[in-house]
Amino acid sequence: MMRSRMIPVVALLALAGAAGCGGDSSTASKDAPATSRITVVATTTQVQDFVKVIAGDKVTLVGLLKPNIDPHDFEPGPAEQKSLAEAEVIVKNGVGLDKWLDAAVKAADTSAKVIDASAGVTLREGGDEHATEHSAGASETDHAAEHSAGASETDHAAEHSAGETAGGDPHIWHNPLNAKIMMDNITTALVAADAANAATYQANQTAYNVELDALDAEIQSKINTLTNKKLVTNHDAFGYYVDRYGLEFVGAVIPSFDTSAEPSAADVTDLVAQIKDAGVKAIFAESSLAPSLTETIGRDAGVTVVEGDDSLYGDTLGPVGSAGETYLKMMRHNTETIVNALK
Amino acid sequence: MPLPVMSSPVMPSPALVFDDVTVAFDSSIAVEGVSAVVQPGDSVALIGPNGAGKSTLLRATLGLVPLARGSITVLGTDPVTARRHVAYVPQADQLDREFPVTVIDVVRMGRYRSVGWGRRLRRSDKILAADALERVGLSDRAHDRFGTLSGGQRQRVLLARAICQQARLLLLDEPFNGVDSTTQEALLAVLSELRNDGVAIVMPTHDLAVAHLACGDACLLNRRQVAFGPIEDVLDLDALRDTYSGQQLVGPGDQVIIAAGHHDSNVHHHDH
Amino acid sequence: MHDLLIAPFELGFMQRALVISLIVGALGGIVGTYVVLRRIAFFADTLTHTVFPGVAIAFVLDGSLYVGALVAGLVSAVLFGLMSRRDALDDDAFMAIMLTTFFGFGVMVVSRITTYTNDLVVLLFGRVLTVSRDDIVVTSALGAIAVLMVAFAHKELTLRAFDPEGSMAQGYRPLLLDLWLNIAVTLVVVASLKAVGTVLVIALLVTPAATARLVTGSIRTMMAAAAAVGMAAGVVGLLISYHASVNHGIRLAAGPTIVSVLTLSFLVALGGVTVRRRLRRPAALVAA
Repeated sequence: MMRSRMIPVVALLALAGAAGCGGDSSTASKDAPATSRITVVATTTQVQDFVKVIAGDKVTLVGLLKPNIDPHDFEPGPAEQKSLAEAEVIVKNGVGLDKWLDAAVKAADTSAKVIDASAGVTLREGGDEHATEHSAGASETDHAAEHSAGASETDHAAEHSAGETAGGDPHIWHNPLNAKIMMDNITTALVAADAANAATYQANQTAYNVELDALDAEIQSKINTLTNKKLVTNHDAFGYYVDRYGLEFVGAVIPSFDTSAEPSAADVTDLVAQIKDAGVKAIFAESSLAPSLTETIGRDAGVTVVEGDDSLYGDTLGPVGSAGETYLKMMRHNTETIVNALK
Repeated sequence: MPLPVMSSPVMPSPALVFDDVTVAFDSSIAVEGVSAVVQPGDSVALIGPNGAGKSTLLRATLGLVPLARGSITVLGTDPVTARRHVAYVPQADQLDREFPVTVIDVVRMGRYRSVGWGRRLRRSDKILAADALERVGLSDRAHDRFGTLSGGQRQRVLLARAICQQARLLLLDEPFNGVDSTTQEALLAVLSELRNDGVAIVMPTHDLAVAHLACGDACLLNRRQVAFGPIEDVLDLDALRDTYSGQQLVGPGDQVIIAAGHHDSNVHHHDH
Repeated sequence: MHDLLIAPFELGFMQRALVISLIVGALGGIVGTYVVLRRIAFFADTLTHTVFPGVAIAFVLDGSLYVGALVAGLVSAVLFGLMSRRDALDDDAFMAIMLTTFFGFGVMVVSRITTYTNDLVVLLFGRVLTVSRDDIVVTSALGAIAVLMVAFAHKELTLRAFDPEGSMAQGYRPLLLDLWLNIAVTLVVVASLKAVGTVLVIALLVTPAATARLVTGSIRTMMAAAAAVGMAAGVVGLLISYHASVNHGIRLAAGPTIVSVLTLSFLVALGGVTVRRRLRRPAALVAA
């Protein structure tokens, strides 16, 4: 009764399977575009900005992430996949921030070179719990309690061993010196892919390095005017900034480099206590994350919450026309906001 | 594989033997003390109020519930082994009328066990099904959806399904419930033919008039066997009172008998 | 026309997305026919949720997520089968408890992970655009087994769906048949992980068959129609997602788009059937 019907269906499945194997043939890149400009795909808004600075309109730049979109978990759509297939150079931030890119690149059958902008940057290591604990001065009992409550060593081990330094802090660009390294990686790649414009690229890089040095000095002098340097942010995105400029990191609402973690009730209570004890003046929301939890903690701790247009740019740049539309503007905005709130 | 046919005219092997059967669920007795012998070609009506144990007895005959005491012998062997030679006809109203099956599809379901897993119906199976449908007089509706038939017609289709199982024992669950007179006549005719072929029939029923027409024997149940034997002997008023104490009963000629509580030391007045 | 229908599938990743959507669509239609006929859509939904903790544990242990899903799914398929015999709880309530317990356990496992959980989100919602050749092989293999299983037991499953009592009376053990179907459903769920993920796979199992039920009169045609609807939704969903993204800059994730197309076709079929019924009634009976 059913047998005769099953045969065509099973045949269809087999056929489909065979077709799937065949579908691997390289239809990846279309014919080279009419202009001789190479196509560069860049993941985060920060590296997109860097590419723009270095290459201007000498390349066709396709940005995957849009401003104020959380970069930690992104699903490339058909248009993004298509651009990956057609690119010559793909630039990513690295350190696991754009981990979703790996599968997308593999599926796109692209002939492009994937550039990790973080190559050569000294990373902040360590599990996020350790970072917040030590900077907040939390006692050893907290740590011990965590372990006895069932947080096994295997969890931490998984963190550190999983893939490429997944336990490292990926928000490397918040230190302008790291930005220089990233720029260098990008320039090298662009020069290799498009030797014709090498001179332009290198000149642009050199000019920007001057700007970055100026920025670095400016931020340091502004931060030095503060007496109260205690910082509480939405998630742990500002580690490199804090380390470079000597701020004091009290804690983050989401105690993680990743935005999908959920703070436990203990985390929240501890943070409120730490904020009060440390005499934090203000806590900061971020442009790409919902501020509700930050607002709640601010209310409970009785401190100002800096949010809305004044939100810090933790994970991305801002849209065109906003205070964070370029890297330089973004860094300046963050610094202004922090200094104004904490002075 | 069909069971060997016992062809001794003097003492044929019984189709069904109940020997002091007791069924209990979680230490509460559903039915007890059932002893009866059903020969091939016999037709037994199970009569009793709701909850008397009629359905339970059917289930026990199919080997679907375990016995607390006693034994049931079906076609010379245990109920589970005999299942493929026993046909069960449920009430048609239990079945979904929207289900996408045709009448002939339903009849053919009776052949599944013979065909076996993973195999298709053979031509012989389809012929058997068509014949069975013919016997119940519904060949013209073979390709209509099952649910489009009337209640009585659907009951006949289920009987056809049981027929093409080629069973020696037929269990019919209240087959005459709410059927029209055409269907009733058709069913009686088929049952009579089957009895002549040596098929044994057991059927719970509420309707005493039909029981007289369809069955030669009767078993009165009220959680215990009250009586068993030829129907004319068994269906007397005292026995019926025992069976239906306090409940309404439809008698021959549609008389309504309301039985008062019987003054018997065995009977207590319960509040349900 | 070429640009509309053919051009999108000239890209490698779109071809693979198409192949897996066709396979998964057909699977959902075929196995889903039995789910709909047996009226166990809620139970099938429960099964899909129980797959999640297996996936989460496999992720933590750095094992194959397919294997984790398979193990969890098979364990719960068996568990449900055994528990339902005991009539311990009303089945409905029991399933709801199981569903939330399993899923909650999975979430607990996930919350202990503080590294990137992108991979897990992928398995909840699928990433049809990054399907690899290996994924297609796994999906085809699991799917073929599921289809062979239901083909083998087709008449017995049909009888059980139509007349459970009669099925028992003829000597078929309900536990065995239910387990058989549960396992086939689990295989389809695991096979569909990459394409639509565990959260949306229930749509593939139920909607095509439910749509086909409305417009067909026999099981054969119902199954064929269900497979056709499932596959068509895959193609249309991918095309919509592609054109929205490439030509209009609107991001419509492929998996959910396919599900939306399925829902739409169900509503259209439902509307059509309702209208047809109204038209058939004698004029005198139709309210003004």
